Amino acid sequence: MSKGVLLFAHNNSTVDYVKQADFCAAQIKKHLNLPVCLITSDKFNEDKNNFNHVIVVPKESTSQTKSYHDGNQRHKDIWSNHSRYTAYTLTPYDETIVMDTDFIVANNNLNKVFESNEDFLINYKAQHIDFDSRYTEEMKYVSDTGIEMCWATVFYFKKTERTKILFELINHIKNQWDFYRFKYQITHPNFRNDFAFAIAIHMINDFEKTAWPKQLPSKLFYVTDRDGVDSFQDNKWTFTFESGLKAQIKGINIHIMNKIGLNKIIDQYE
Amino acid sequence: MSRGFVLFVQQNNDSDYLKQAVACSLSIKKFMPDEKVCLITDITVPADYQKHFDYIKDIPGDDLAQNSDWKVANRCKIYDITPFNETIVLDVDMLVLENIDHWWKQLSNYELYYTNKVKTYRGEWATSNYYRRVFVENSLPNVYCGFHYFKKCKNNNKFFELLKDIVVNYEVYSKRFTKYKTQTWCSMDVATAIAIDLLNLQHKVFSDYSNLTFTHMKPRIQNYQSQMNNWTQHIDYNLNTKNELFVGNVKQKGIFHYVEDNFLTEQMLEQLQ
Repeated sequence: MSKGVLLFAHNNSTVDYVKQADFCAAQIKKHLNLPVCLITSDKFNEDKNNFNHVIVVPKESTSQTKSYHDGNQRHKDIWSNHSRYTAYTLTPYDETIVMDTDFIVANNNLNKVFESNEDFLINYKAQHIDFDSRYTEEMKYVSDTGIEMCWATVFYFKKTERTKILFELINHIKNQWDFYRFKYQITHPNFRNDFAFAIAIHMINDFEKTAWPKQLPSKLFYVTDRDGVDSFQDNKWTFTFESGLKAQIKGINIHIMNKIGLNKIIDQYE
Repeated sequence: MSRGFVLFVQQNNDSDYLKQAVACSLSIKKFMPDEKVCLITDITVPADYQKHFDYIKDIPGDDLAQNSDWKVANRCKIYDITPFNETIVLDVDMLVLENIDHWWKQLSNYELYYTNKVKTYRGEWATSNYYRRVFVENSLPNVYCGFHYFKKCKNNNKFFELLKDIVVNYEVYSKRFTKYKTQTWCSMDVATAIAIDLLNLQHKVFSDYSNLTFTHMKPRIQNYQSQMNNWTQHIDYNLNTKNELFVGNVKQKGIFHYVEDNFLTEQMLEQLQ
């Protein structure tokens, strides 16, 4: 059975996702020792990169925008996040870990997914590394009265009839987003993979909480785009939280939502 | 051993408890047609409602809720009135949403069973003490009478005699047992908690591990960030033709305590029939 990691990267004028993907792939190779496949609609450095496969897809046609924060700075730009459902058909691997390019691995915990018999693993809970942060509590559900959240930041799947249905359902939810976000009391109009995955899983489970899917063998830690990204050295990240508090982590997988800040660090790292 | 469900309704000015009792009985019989349902009431039950109950019993003795708008005090007489050896008591503003026949077997391990934890409609254990300050501040057992079970037996004769005494003399008991936070009116939950505490029955009437409980729709225990007072105004719900109830798109199972009177519409009642 082939194993690997799939990354999606669609640039806009604010964030070079392909560059982020290359950095992300370097950390994957270092800590997980897995091949990496990039799916992109943008140019990439064909001579020097950390990808084992690159699948070029057409540019998404979307008018969806989002605010990219770098601490107090805000940039509004196009947000192309509609192709995640294609992971099932495009992956070159039998067993695949899909990651956001701003999820940076720092240990080999995720390799344990290949020892499980599960067809799909994802995180329901995410934890800000500032344990006093209000975000952890606020992001438990897709909305205040809605269903439990799940995080499509990183997930594992192997091809089964059930996961095929799951990805088809995510595509359907994406196509009918206005209906589903209304139905699930989601106030923000933007399509978000986290929400689409949560809804699709809920539907497959016959609208109940069940034991499927199980959680990934790695807790999902994050910093938000309101937190500053200060440095990265020797597998150690330094952040300045929104509160002004500084924090360091070492050897912990981390979802760095401040994509602009992350890219600045990647530029320095290179 | 005879067994069955008991529903208790006393006339009040605000709510149509009788209609709710009919809906509750219909929901029980929808999934468990052979189960017997007894209605205990002081209301003259219309003929078209009578058919939904196997037994209809009057409330005997003095009206213990004479001076109360919230007619619950006479519920302590259920033990004396029930026609069954084994009884499950449900609040009338509840619906049974699946076959819970197997609960009888689990409950038969107890003489008396109450739940001390309830679920949210999202299937989580409710952790908020918002409505439970009297219990918390007086270290009383966190009992919910909305669903409970008893057998006719010597120990329960004693328990329900005490419960009656607490209800009749609520002021005296509440001064002594709820002195850190007092509830001026008598609720069955507080009265029952005092009885359990007095007889030291916590270890016999609760289970830390069982799922024998209900979904409680009081809004402040639903883990919302916002503070809503009436869930039916904010959350979509529907009962489909298979009697599957969806609340906020979450399929409900077991026993559902809807709390809000406006939840039960005529259309829903028709559907249950």
